[in-house]
Amino acid sequence: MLINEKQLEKENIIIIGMPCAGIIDRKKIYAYLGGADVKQANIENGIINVKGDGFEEKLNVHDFLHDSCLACRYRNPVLCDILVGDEIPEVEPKDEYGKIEQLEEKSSKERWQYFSKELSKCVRCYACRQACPLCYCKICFVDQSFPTWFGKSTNISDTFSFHLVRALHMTGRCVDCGACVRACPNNIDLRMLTKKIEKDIKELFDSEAGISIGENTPLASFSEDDPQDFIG
Amino acid sequence: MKTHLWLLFLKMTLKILLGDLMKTIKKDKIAKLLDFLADKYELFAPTSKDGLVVSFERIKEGKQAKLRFYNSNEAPKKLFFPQSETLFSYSKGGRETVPEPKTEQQRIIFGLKPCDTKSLSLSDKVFDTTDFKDPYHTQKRGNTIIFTLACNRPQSSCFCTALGLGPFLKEGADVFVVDLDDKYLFEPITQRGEDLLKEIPGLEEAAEKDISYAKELAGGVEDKITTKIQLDSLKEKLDKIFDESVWDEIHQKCLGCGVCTYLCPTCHCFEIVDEQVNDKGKRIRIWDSCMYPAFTLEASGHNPKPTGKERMHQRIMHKFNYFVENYDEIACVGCGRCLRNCPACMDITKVIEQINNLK
Amino acid sequence: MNNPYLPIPVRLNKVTLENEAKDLKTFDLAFVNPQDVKAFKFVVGQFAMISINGIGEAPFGIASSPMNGAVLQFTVKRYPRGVLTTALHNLSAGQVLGLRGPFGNGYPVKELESKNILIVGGGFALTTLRSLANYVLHKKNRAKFGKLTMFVAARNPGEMLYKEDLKEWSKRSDIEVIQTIDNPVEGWKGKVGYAAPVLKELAPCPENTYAVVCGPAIMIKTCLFVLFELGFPPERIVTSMEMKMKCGIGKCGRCNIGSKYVCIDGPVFTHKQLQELSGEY
Repeated sequence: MLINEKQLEKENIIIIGMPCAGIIDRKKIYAYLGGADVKQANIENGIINVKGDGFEEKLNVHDFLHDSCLACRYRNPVLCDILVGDEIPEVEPKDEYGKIEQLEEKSSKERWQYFSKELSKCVRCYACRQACPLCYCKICFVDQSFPTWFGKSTNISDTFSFHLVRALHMTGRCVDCGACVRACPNNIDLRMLTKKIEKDIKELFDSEAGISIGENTPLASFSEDDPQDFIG
Repeated sequence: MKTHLWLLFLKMTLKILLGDLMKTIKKDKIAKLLDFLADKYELFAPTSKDGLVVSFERIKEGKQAKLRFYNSNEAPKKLFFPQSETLFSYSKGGRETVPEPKTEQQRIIFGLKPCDTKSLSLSDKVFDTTDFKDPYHTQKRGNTIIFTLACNRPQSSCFCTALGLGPFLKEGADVFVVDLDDKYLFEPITQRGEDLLKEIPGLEEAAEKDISYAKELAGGVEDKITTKIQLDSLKEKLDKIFDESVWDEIHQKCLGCGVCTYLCPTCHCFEIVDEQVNDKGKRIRIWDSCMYPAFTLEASGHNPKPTGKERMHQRIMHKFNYFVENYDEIACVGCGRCLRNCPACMDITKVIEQINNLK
Repeated sequence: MNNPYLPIPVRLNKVTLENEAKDLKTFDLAFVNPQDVKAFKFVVGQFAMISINGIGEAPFGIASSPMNGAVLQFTVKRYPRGVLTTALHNLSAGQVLGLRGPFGNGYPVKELESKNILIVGGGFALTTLRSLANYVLHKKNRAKFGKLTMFVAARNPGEMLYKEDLKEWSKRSDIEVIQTIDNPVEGWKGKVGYAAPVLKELAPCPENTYAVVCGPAIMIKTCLFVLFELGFPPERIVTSMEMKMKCGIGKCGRCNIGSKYVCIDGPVFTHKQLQELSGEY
């Protein structure tokens, strides 16, 4: 993506890639163990061994992978000069948009309530933005003072604006790495916004971010046969 | 007759010396005790909406409190220094300013851990100064009675002992509470803690065995803290290493996300902004972070801390050097929130070890 | 409890355009409430936080002398990215602003007594230096101090700040005024050249003299070098620092140089103090 957006020149970098079968979501383990303090952990043959005061458990890695890893189609690097390790078989994600589809079916009032509840947890720390590999603006729109687009406090209306606008800025660009969700100190499920936009982009423009070099993102390019039926 | 009076006098003195002021309450009655407090005061206690993430919120009913927990995800500093706080409001074309009404209501925070209680004393050093007393923070501090809950189970990420603090530290508490498995022991530390305990119905006198069990728990718990770091000569070391390349190494992983500062109980940096709708507006104070690039960015475009390296240097120096120089205390309480939540898995204890190991 | 975050209302009485580039203006502010006049006692070198409700707040050095305390003067440079400075420059007389202060430590006037004072100012950093000069020149104070030299540098005559003051001072015998501009301009009677080489040429004597230096970073750097060469020790070189500030009272954490906050431990520091702070300066 960064190459496509001309942030990096392919000629100037050597990409060392490795296949990734997913990363473990610590918060899922924490939830499963009812909040117990894990003092030691290691992974062997697809099993996570966790140990703490008075408990020892063996967990199946697949059950505790990050949500973005469960939806991942490209476990091998789509682009690299040197591959470390052998390629691993690609897996068709089981339920890529399940949660999104569930939300889509709810009424607009229910969706509003869901997002209000989630986003009321936001303390405006901008960890999501800092962690995101595609948020590279020198001055983010929230930090602009000329003009000041909206307030910086935890006023719910301003918080909504921040997240919605950031999600829109990610349209056609987000690769669903999940860094935003991992960074959030209050466990806000930001992927509900970004994944939904990813789904729409796929359906409307048949486009996926970051798969090949030279592709223009849908919002940065125009073709005469772009779908238009959603324009009122 | 005289002997009788003497014996009575001795008995009283012994009772006081042996902690006669200490009280206990059985665990199944704690919810009712909290109900009582919630009726008369604004009561804040650890709560959890999903059973896992604990947060200090206002409760109206005792049963909402979750008292068996490691620590809250967010630091309770938000109860004294909220993320957004109105300093004053204005109207009439910006000419009249109306200061925010002061909070008159007495508050109780029940279940604050000793590390967080200590962090309040540290933040007082910044906000409660003789020259410029911060009315918002100091007023809340004055209006709030603190029940500190001893930490029977420190987490693997805790390191309060390295800072000279401890899981049974009573400093800053009005009442010190110990979980004795089937009951809670209350020890008044300040006069207002003692006065409050007298108001609460249903408390029993603490028995000898309760007091000695509490002592036993206190004795055994420090060993449970496994993270040990040396802080004795850290300030002197930091004085000397501004230009060292170690800072290049230290800041490399850091994303500059600021989560550490937002969750840290002693971090107090803020920004002041004006927000206005039509003719009415307010000046508000909101959390800011020294890890953000715009923190020190001047209108001319000059930035004295232009990269993550300078900002990481600032953070470490502020906590372990500058604060020590100004107030003789380290601005860290070892709660471990920063290292538990860092998305890049940075660990301040490892950074300190790295600095300590420099020649 | 006195709330240090509440601004005091001040009325803008007069706006003076200071330079040809039209980005420097001096504002005369008068307290709206008479009791605030008495309460606002400041020393030379202190600053105040000026705010416009709905826009923002920023620190500005007080350019007027404490000897005429009823009206405060501030000189503000408009930065294209500066929300507040731009708004200030668009104001007209009569409007009400907010003021908080006085903040900061001010120049060490007690220490300067019976010493010679060499003021080295460049560009628009002359604000608090003007306050210092007028304070020293006041008839109640002049006898307490030794020789007073005002060395001022600017890009060209149009950019010289406080032209009226400079003219008045030049007529006096108890202050020596030396002005320099970067490049020769027809009709200019002062010196020509950058601050540092001209200062070197002048070779002021360091004996019993304090140098008070303010200006753009590059000017300070080069002039410092000259002053060291001439024999000025770091404890007798004084400067006023600038940082982004929000609270002005040492709480918001952003204006520190090492363990010192520019808003409460500064903005005035001796060069010796700066050398001792964490290497950041």
